[in-house]
Amino acid sequence: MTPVVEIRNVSKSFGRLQVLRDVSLSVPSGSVTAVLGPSGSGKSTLLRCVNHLETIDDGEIVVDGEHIGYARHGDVLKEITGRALARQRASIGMVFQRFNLYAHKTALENIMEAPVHVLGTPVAEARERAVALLDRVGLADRAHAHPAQLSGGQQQRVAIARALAMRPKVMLFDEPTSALDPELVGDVLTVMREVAETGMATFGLSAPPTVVVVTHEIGFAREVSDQAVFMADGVVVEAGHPDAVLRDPQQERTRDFLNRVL
Amino acid sequence: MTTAAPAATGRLRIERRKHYGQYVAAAVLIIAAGLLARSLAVNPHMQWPIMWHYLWNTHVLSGLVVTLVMTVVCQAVGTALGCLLAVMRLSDNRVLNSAAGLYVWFFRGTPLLVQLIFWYNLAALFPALGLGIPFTGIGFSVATNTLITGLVAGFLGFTLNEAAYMAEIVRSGISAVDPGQREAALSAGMTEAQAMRRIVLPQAMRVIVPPTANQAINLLKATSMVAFISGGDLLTNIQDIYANNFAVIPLLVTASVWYLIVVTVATVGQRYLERHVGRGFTTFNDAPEPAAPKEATA
Repeated sequence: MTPVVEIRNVSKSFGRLQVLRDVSLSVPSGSVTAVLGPSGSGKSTLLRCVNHLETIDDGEIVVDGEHIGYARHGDVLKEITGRALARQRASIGMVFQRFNLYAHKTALENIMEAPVHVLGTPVAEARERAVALLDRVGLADRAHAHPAQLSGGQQQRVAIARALAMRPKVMLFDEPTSALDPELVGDVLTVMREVAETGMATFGLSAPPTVVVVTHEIGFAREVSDQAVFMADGVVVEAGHPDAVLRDPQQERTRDFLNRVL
Repeated sequence: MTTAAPAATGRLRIERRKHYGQYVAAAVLIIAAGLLARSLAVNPHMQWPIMWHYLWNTHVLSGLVVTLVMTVVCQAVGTALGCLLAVMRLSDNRVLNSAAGLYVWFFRGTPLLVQLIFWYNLAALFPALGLGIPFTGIGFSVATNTLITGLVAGFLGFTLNEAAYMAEIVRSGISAVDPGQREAALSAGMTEAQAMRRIVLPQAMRVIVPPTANQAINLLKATSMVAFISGGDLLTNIQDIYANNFAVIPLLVTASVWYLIVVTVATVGQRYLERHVGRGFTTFNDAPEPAAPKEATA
């Protein structure tokens, strides 16, 4: 399988604090990669670099054959802005820890916004698809509610539907269940599992989505992911099949972390 | 005391706290206001008939129109300029950023009245104003005094001053929107400009509208300062009249009545506007979920 997301030797610092050191990671098309690690390990930053919400200082990130956020001129990667960057981001869906639903728009409007205003989808068609997506995430009856009128779990399911409405090649989940009350986590994980396992059939995507999820849900990572990556202090400590990394870790730091969270 | 004993009727009755202080305050205020109203009503120097007479005087009304037009135009152009300055102030471009900062610093830092008198006396600094290509003699110019009337100086002064205050109001509004909103918009493939226009600004409006309404009301009354430079506004025309008939107090009351009427209308408008831009920010209890809007006709 060809990698859809290819991260090569990426380094990044915030001022004097180096958050990513020479990180490399390859995500095969249609696979699910779970990134785990203690807070401050750089996993969220890495994810945010993949759609250029953060710049990188060194290395390269290639999604579907394109350098994200940069254009190659000979041996130099020059940062891009405006429409070129927006076009790249349009095919990468992102789900945030704090949901980030547009607060002034209803659930339905949140889902229709980018298809209509970025892709130019006719309103009627975008509405039809938004209604279908809301139905798939179990929120058909909440279409006209504003985010403030929805529970955290409901908001996150709308956020997933919103990202899927763009028919992304890649879905990035940034700790999607970390801000939820425990009893609401299950619903969101169920939707995510459906995205990962039956994305094409259930959500009308043209190809199986490639998923990268930063999570603390070890159980979810074990069951759903094809690749587990353990990060600490800005480096990839261990990566491989989830059964290997999560059940029989070779590195001391991975074992320590798993002992603490399980 | 048998505080825990069951009530005779089987149920204890809850009695609300009595607001005795409120009754006392109301009584005192009503008496004071009544005395004041009586002394004004019977005071012959108030000359109530003159006040009523001039309320609908054409000279007064034409001044009112100038006041209203000046307020609306200066507020509108000032807001547009202020938005531009706010975006400059928030941009990564250090030159634009500092330029906007300098503008706000200067126009907020000098008194409005000084700015107005300065614009009115621009001729003392630049006797002629012109457009042309430097060093070629191509172009045209006009005497500053024919161009800058009291009215024009007023428009200029209020707009430039208003822009400085609006820049700060808009900037605080934009800063108040959760950065995650912009990130969500960008990650969905919007450009920075789209994210600002479609996602950030509509939410910033909730924070921007109340102080802007405050600014507009301030501006309405501040326009009376053009009376210093014969701007032809409501107060200028009121002064014209009392310069002839010496009925200073009744005419000032006439002007105040008009200012109060306009401010009252503006306040009602503000309430509706605030409700409109507050969509999505009310909680369950006070905001019934809207009914499904009618489907777009295909």
